[in-house]
Amino acid sequence: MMKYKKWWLVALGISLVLTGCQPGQKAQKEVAMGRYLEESLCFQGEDDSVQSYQRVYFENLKGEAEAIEQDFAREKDIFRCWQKDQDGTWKQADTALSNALNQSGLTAVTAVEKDKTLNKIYVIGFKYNAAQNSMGEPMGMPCILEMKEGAVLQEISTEFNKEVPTKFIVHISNGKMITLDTEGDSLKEYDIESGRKIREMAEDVKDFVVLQDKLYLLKNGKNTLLQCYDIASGEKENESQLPDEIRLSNMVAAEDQKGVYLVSQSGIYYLQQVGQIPEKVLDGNLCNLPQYSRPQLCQGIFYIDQLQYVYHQELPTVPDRKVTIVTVEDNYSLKQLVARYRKENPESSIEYITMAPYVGESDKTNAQRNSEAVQKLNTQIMTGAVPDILLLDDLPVDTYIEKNVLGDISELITETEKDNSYYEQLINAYEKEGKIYAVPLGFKIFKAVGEKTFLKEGFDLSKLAAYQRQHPDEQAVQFSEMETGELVKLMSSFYKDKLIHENGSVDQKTMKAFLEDIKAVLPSQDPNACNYEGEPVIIAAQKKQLKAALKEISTAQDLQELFYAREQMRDGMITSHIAGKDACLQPIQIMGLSIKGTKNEEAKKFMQYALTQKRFNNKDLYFFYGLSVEKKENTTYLSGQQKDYNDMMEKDEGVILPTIKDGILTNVYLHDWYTEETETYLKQLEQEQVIRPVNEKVAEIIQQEAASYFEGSTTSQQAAEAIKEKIDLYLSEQNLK
Amino acid sequence: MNKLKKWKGLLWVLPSLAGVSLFYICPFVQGMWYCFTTGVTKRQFTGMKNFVSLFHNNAYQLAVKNTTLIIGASVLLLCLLGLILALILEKNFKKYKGLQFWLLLPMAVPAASLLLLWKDLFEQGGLLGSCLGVRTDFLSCNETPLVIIGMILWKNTGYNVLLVLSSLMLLPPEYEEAARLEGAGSWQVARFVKIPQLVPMLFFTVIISIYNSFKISREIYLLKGEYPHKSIYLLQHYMSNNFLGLNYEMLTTAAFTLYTVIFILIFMGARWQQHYTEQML
Repeated sequence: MMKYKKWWLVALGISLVLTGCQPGQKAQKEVAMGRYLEESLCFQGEDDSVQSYQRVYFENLKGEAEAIEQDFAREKDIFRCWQKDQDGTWKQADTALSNALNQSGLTAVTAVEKDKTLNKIYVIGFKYNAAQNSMGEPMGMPCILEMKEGAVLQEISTEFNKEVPTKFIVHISNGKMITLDTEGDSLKEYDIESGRKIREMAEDVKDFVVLQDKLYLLKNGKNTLLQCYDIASGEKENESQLPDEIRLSNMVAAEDQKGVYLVSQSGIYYLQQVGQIPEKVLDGNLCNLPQYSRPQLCQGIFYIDQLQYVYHQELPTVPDRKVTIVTVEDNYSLKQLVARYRKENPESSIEYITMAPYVGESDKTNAQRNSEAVQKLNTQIMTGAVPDILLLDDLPVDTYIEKNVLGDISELITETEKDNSYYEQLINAYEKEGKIYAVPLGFKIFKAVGEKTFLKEGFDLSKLAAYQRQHPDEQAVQFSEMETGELVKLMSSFYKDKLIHENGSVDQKTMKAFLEDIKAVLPSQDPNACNYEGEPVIIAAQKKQLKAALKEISTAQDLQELFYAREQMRDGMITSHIAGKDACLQPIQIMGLSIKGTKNEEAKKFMQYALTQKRFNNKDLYFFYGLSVEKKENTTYLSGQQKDYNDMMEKDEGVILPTIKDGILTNVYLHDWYTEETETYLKQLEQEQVIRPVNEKVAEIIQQEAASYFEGSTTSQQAAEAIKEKIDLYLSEQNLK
Repeated sequence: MNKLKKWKGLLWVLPSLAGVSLFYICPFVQGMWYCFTTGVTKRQFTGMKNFVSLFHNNAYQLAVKNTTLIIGASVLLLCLLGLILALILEKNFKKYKGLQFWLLLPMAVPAASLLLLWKDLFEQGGLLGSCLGVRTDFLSCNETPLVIIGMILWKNTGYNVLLVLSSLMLLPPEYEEAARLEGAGSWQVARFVKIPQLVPMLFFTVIISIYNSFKISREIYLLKGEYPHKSIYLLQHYMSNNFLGLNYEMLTTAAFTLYTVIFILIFMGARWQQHYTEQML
């Protein structure tokens, strides 16, 4: 027994040591200081105008930081040059180099590299020549120029570029050049003078960095690999697998040539050699790192797209004020909101979590992943790990309200409503028993665009179906590019009141007719008629006008594009009269504060911030631009400025709609021809009613049974019966009946 | 010394006990707590309200009815078929090599792999429909429970046969020999000699059959989703759907009720089996 007692004493002693309890000492918590801070637009145009450009940074022959900026929207003088002042601000530089670039015939510059051994600078870019590609468009041929003193650009041998367009110069030293070719992302070494290919080094290279005499390659496949090559021998020396969170990253060499930075959406990481665990130097939750942009590091500052990341010693490394935001699918607008909030509140840490990030799969697979993501989130909620803020678009809002997952945000609304800037019907869309549990930050306006004769009494599915049955060879209606299931879901929302009674039971007869009407319309759909992404819009037009209209419509929820589309339709009209209702607003970007979030002051502050940002639901029609670059066609659209529509009207600038017409980028200006129409439309929005989508589960049941009917497996009667049975079962099961 | 032995024994069992507590006992106790409370993030005590609400729920009543019918019929048939086949195969078991393999094969095949087979057999335009000359989807009609029972029998009968067979092999041959000497036929030997001795194993077979029958909900879910035809809407569907709808109290209440019913049935069965065996002896 004595031996037994000693054993317990020993165990107790060990546990005390492990917990760090030492008598006579207080535990001291040291706060680590210093982190990178995201700063917007390192370059500011003189007129604050919205610009579209790309930028390449380099160190010039004098050792100063310089940048070549190229503006693809300009018809001439594509290039501008900027230099960094001693005080750290960037100013437009001497025009000699920009003149030289603009006169060189270059249409784009992809990289500028310095051969430090020979003190030479090479510019790699593209020039148009007479040859054309299979689409009849002029081809851009790569070329390399040497930048000499006095801003002289001399083209050097391009023999090795003739067949394989070169993407990047990887390394230049002693008259030899390693390039990353676009074909198979392969790495090859050439002699600059003769253009002779010396060797092939590697393939499938995502990104690269040169450190002293070593070449580091990043390969993305099933796993992300970092490989180290010796440049002289071309032999691979080492390889390691990087953590999953660093997937889809880009690399940049440390300026002291002792390490490598890896930039991904999850953060910026540093490592000195292959095999080391990367050290996180910037948490992706503290900024909005773009996903696919190649970073550049110049004089201690990271440049990624149009943003710069500067190190601030005075900021805590890990902010103590934290907010968690969860969304099912990635939401661009919300990310921009988070990015702006972070900039204005550097002491806050906003963790933005996407439960089901889009990875390019089919709609059906994405829907399944979304469903699994919702289940995962529900499990987390059950365990108490409730996020502070939820984006409720793909989530069961009514269930969350019912189960007290969401908190009351009425007092936040009251603060926002002081200037009466919100549409009342949207604010109250998720009100229950006098409390508001969620607010949509935006809305979609369902409209029909088409011929007056067809639409003057508004859009009606039964009439459309009747017309289609009589004219089976004609195409009277073209819906936007969406799967049949989505169309059924959309129509169910419009006709919800007729399909489902107030007590929740299904009107079987109406459901049967509804399914038959949709089936009558489906065969007329031409999947090739639409070529745009965007929210569904209903379009009714004669065939000859239809294709002309559809080519020009890109996003129907954007009013200015809608007006532009209307311009293309002869005797056209816009109507919001759908399914017998005067107008329909569908709420989107529905944000809610969880019960846990109501106790987090930072979360409430962010929610307030989100509500006060000017959005579509604000009575001033703002066109909200994000803070990163959006690429459409071959054009880069820069963001960073908000434009007040009314403000633009006053200055007679009009609304600018960049678009591609006949293969050429043009701008369409919508001036005050549409002012009166806009005014009318804005007034109409005051009366529009909010149409909340049909319950997610009910929509799923209708979609599944409708699919069987459309395939011919069941009759409309059987499908309607099955829908009624299942919905009744669901409502009874969930005690909703 | 005995106390020391007891403590030492407890220490040896402690890791396993910790695991069982963490993954079974604690969640069970927490589930029981959920039965008497409501709410997701913040729980409030509601007494027996959840049970009352459960028993009045139409969907639950339907699920109980379907589950009782399907599981009850399956268990009965599984045990009967298992016993009959075991008695038939007893004499020739050793003669046919590989019989064990074929009896266990249905159980070894993954459920997801069998889905295609079930669909080809029973869906609209499948083999069964073609043979009968009808265009019925046998997985979504009032006759679907028969199909489900058939699936359960196909999958689990072989296992039950092996269980009963193994017990039959171990029976002392003297009783059978004595009965045959007295002039008993095969049926009389089976009924009065073998089956009474098999009662403990048969009871075990009933428990295993209940367990295996409940697993069919996985196939039904994979075939027909969260809301199948009303004739095959089982308790598992009710519980799973309530989980997705954040109705944890309904889920745990239904689960606890099911547990209680099965516990009582098995307890009573065990007592009866014990009493019967003692009487036999």
